[in-house]
Parts: sequence; C-alpha cells; structure tokens
Amino acid sequence: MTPMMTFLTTAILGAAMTASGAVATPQLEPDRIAVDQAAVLRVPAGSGAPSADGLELSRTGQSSEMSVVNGRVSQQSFTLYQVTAQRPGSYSIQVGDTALTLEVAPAGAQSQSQSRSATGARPAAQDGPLGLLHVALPHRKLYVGEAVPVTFKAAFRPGAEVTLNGQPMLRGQAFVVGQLPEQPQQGDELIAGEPYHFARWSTSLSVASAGKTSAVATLPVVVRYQQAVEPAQDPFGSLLGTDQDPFTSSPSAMMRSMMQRMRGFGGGFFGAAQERELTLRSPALAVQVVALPKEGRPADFSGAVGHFDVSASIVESTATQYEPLRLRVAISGQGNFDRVTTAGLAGDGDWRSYPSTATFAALQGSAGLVGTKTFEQAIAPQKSGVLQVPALRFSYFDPDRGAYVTKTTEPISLQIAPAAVQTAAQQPQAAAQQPDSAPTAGVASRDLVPPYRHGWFWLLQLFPLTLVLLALWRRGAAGRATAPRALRKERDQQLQLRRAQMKRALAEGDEGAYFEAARRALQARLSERFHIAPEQVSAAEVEGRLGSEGREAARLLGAAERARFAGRAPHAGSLAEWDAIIECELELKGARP
Amino acid sequence: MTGALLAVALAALGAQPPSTTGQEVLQAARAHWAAPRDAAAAAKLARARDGAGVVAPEATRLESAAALLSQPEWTWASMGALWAAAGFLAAALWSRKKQLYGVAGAAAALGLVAGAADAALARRLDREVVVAQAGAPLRVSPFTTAQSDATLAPGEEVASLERLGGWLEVRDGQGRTGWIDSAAVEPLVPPHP
Repeated sequence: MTPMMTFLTTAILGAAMTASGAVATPQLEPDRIAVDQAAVLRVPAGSGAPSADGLELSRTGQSSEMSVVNGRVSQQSFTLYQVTAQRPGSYSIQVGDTALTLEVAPAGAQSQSQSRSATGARPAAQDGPLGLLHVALPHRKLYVGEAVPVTFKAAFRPGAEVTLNGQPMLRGQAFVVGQLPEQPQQGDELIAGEPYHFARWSTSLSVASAGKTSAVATLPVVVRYQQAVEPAQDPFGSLLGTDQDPFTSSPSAMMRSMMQRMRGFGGGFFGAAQERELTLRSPALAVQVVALPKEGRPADFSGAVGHFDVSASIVESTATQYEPLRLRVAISGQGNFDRVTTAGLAGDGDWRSYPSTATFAALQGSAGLVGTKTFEQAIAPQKSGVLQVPALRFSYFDPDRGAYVTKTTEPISLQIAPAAVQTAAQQPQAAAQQPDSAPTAGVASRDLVPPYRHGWFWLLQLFPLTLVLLALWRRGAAGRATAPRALRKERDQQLQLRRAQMKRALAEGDEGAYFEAARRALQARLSERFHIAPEQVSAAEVEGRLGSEGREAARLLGAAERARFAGRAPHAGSLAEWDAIIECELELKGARP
Repeated sequence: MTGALLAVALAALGAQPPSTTGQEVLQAARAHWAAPRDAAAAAKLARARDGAGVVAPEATRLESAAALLSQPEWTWASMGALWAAAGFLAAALWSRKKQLYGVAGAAAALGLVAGAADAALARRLDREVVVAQAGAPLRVSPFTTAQSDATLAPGEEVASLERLGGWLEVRDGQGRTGWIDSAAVEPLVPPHP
C-alpha cells in the first residue's frame, strides 16, 4: 500500500488553518451514503476496534500519514475499514470514546460529497496552478547502466492543504528509478519573492538502453480547499489540462501567476471545504543515453559504471591448514553498486573457495550511489607453509574518462600452520568423556567398527591370494614340463602317418607318392635331431651336418626331390630296395640324438 | 519399523518415554547397529528417539536390506565367500577340473553381493553423526559468526557431507543443509584409534 502523507502548507499572513488531517481522531468519509455505496472509516492506531449495529465493517488495510503544521512534524497510522449498510437509516459507529454518525439513503441516492460536487460549487481561493513538479539530473548525457542522483521536487503554494496520494513516478521508456524515501524532505522557499512549501525526494536513476529518450514525472495529490462564496474560475483548469499547461512555463512564472490568482480571492478562502484529486506533471526530461563501448571491455566486467577502489584483506590473524578463513574484498566509491560484483578467489591446489556473500553500506543521503560493497568469501588453505592469496581484479567503466578501468588488490601472504591431527586424536578423547549410559555401549561401539579397519584383516587376505598364486604357478610349471613331450608325440604321430602312406604307395606301385611320403618322414625324423623345422631339412643340409654319415639320407632326399620337381622317380621295381634303405635310415636317425 | 511399532505400543499403554539426551540416542543407535536383529536394542533406540523428540532418518531400500546384518557381519560374509571362491579357483587350477571354475564363480558372486551390502551400510553409518549438544546452530557457512537458520535438537541423527577444519556440513532429516561445529556431534561409528 502506498503510504499516504498529508502535506499541509502554512497560510500566508499567519492565518491559522485547521489541520484536520493531522488530528488523530476517527474519521468517516463521507458521512452520508446510499445503500449501494460504501464509506471509509479511518481509525487511528490504538483507538480500538470500531463497532456499529446494522452496519458491516470490513477491514481493508492500513495507512500512515505524516503531517507538518508550522514546521511541527507528526505521524499517525490508521486502520481502514469499508462501511456498508443493508437498509436506509441513521447509524452510529463507536470508536473508543468517539461516536460517528452515518446517514444511509435508499439505493440510487447520491452521497454527500457527490451531491455537493454536482451543484457546481467551486473553490473560492484558487484560480491558478496550485503545485509544481520538477525533476533534476546532474547532466543530460548518460551511459547505459550509469546511475546518477535524481531529485523530484514538488512545490505548493501556501494556503492549500495538500495530501500526497503517492510518490513521484517517472514515466518513460527504459528509465530505472531507485527506491524513493518514504518521507520527503520538506522546507520553505521563496520564488519571485513569494514563499511556498516544497517536498523533495532524492534517489538514483539509470537508463537501460541507448538512444535519445525522455520521461515525464507525475505525482498524485489530493487538494483540500475552501469553497468560495462566489463561484469563480475553476482553479484546477490548468492542472487538468483544460487551460494552459502550468508546467510548460518556468517555475517562477507559474508561481507568480499562482500567487496573483490566490490574492484575488480574498475572504472566499475560508469558505466551505472541498477536495479534489489531481496529478502533477513535470516538464519532459530529455536525456541522451550512450551505449558502453565494446572495445577494450574486460572479461570480468560486470556492468559497474562509476568510480571505484578495491581492496582485499583476511579477517583472521592466524591460519591453519584446512581451517576456513574469511577473505574480504571491499569495493568502495560512487556508481551503480547493484552491478558491482567480483568472482572472488577461485579454488586451486592451494586454496579451496566457497561462494561469497555481499553486503552494501551506503553513505547516508547518497541514495545508494556512494558507499562500500563488501564481499566476504570463505577460503580454506589446503597446504601448510607460506601461501599467497593472489591479486583479485575488478573492472568498471569510468564515465568521465569514457574508458574501462581495471583495478587489482594487493596479494596477501599468509603463514599457514600445519593441521592438527583432529579426527584421530580429538574424537576418541571426546568419546572417553561421554557418560556411558548404556551398559552395552562399549561393546556395541567395538562391534560397530568393521574388521577392515584393522591391519590384521588385510594380512589375512594374503592367505587366499597366496593359494591362488601357488595354483597358478604350479599350472604354469606343469605346462612348461609337458611342452617338449607333446612336441615329440606329435612328430611320432606324423612319422607313423608318413610310413603308412609309404606302405600304401609301395603296395600300389605309386613311385611319386612313395618318395613324397618318404621325404616327409625323413624330414620329420631329422628335424627332431637337427632342432629345425621339417621343411628346412634338405639334401644339402643333411650332407653339411652329417657328412658321410648322412650320405644315404642325402641320396634319398635328392631322389625324392627329383621325383617331386623333375618327375624323374626311380623305377617302381627298385622301390623295395629304397624302402629297406629308408626304414634303415629312419631307425638310425631316430635312434641317435 | 520396530521402533515405530514400539512407540505406538507405548503410546497405547499411556507410557511416557523417558527424557533422554543426545548421548543416550547415540549409545542406543550404536547398540542397535551393532546388533540389528536384536529387538531389545531396537526398542531401546526407539525409546531414546522418542525421549529426545527426534525421528529416525530415512533409509534407502538398499540400506534397509543391508540392515539385516551388522556391518562387521557383512564384512565377514563377504570375506568368507571370496575366500571360498579363491579356494575353488586354486583347486580348479591345480586339478584341471573345469567344474570347479563354476563353483568358484558362484562363490565370488556371493562375495560381491555381500560386499555391496557391506559398502552400502558402511556408506550410511560412516556418514551418520548424532547431535550431542543442546541447541547446536546450523549455520550457512563454516564460521561462528555465520547466520544460523535453524537449530538441531540433541539426539538428531544427521548425515555429514563434508568436513572443513572443525566444521561439518550436514543434512538433517528435513533436507536442510548447513554447517555445524564438529564438537557438537559424535560419529555413529567411533573412529578406530
């Protein structure tokens, strides 16, 4: 709910005015309604709950009002109720010691204030603009994201009771206005020799997009004035846009016009009270917004625009390995602090880092534009000895220089003490101090410890491991022992096969097949003796290795090779002689190592 | 489950659970996990939790199944099965009987299942700590000056996530995480000296 503030100007010439809004009494507005209408009951805080027979009271919210009468400031909170009735009649509302009366007319009738307005009653004292609204910026050229102070100033001529029905709003594309103070600064000023009262709000303003743009500020107010005896020109005509726009003129000219009209009403000023809701509008505020340059933009630039300094420090005076420390990075200066951020220290082998938290302390009255933003980050040294917190960077855009600026902190060297043996030493000690409330607790604690935390458990595992390794070794050794035997067995089988082929060829008289089988049989036999592959055994090889002893074998291999390659096999009639020789050679060569 | 049934039975009988401290919950929890099939130990733990006004932490299905045996029992079962597998393997290598390889494989599979249960239970028990001090603040960062959003009740069983110096990052039964002074808690499984 927008806080409502009553703003009462002082009367000229010391005329005393009734500050009805400043008196903390229950108020009912209007005091005459129809059955299908509602009245608003304002109950000051601490007055108790209202009660009324025949009326329905619905609580709708709260409001806070500040009143200034001749420089004295008072503030009062009200609870708001909506009052409705089902039947016409006269009702009494009791609020504490105060009794209020509400007249309810049949449905379709007009309420008191509406009927009075309908009669065409006009305010007596005013025929000119009652108020002004002005927006002030330090300069009209801004960078995107740059935050500058902005001031909204509303001025009201004396003699009118003005209630601020909200706060100033800036209507324009891409304008971002900071939070306005709930209570504006107030004072009196002279314009063209005339006193007037003003309210001023100061906050920050930034623009989100580049280009030429403009905005208009508005301020809703409720003006209560004295009804004139003689109808006069509608004093709000100009404010409502039916007359000249009061804000296209200079403030001093408007105030002079306002004062002249004010003086023209004379005694009509203190007639019957009347009030009206108005919206003050400021002259258009034109600014040129320049985009931030892309050239030279640092990688760590986060959008901060202004003037800043950065420093870093460690909060703790002593440091221990693995014990967290607090790294504070303070960025102070002037600018848009909502965009001021730093990544802090990145974790590496020396440091473990955690997300940082930020706090902002603004200079009082600076609308959040001047102050210090402090980032606190938990970092834990992972090593002992001398460690260094490296320099940290912070980049921002300087609007005066029109360039990016990067500032760095000073590196911080720290002596890190080695970590104490914590878990093994402290926890058993703490456990020893515990009261043993359960009789089985000690046994249970021992039984909870898994066996693999003991060294003997792992020693035990050597047994099955040794068993498997032993079995593997034995199998390997047996394999190595059986390898030559298997080879010899295979060669014997080959020899038997070749001999069978020889006998079959001899029986069939096939000389080619006989000599081929005989050659292979002799090669198999001699290869075993020579320790070479069977196909490497040739006539020349046999003669070279055995000399005269191998003459018959060489002759046989030569005859077999001739039969194989030249097709000149010995005659079949001599095969029997050859067979005797071959058998003899096979036996001989096989018998000798 | 047993604890919950006992609590219901106590409530039905109008019996008031005794007031307990975090230490009593800790000792009862240690006794229960050392002998998980012991109904008396389970009942004692349930009474201690009721007295401290805390509830049992939730367990996964694997952890619940693994709670049939104590962790040392799972360790021995796993070790025995793997030893048997090693023996059968050695016999198969020695005697060249191929059917022994199958027996060794089956024993090894049993050993691995028991080892998985052992690991699941160890993962839970090794992380679990019990709040032993009253009014232990749960802080957002590991500093005594850090903001505290909650306070852990004595006897509350929480899971430790990370240790940083003298601080433990823990998660309680409501899923809240934060840092607590490690002096305020006791590990469920006591450290082996």
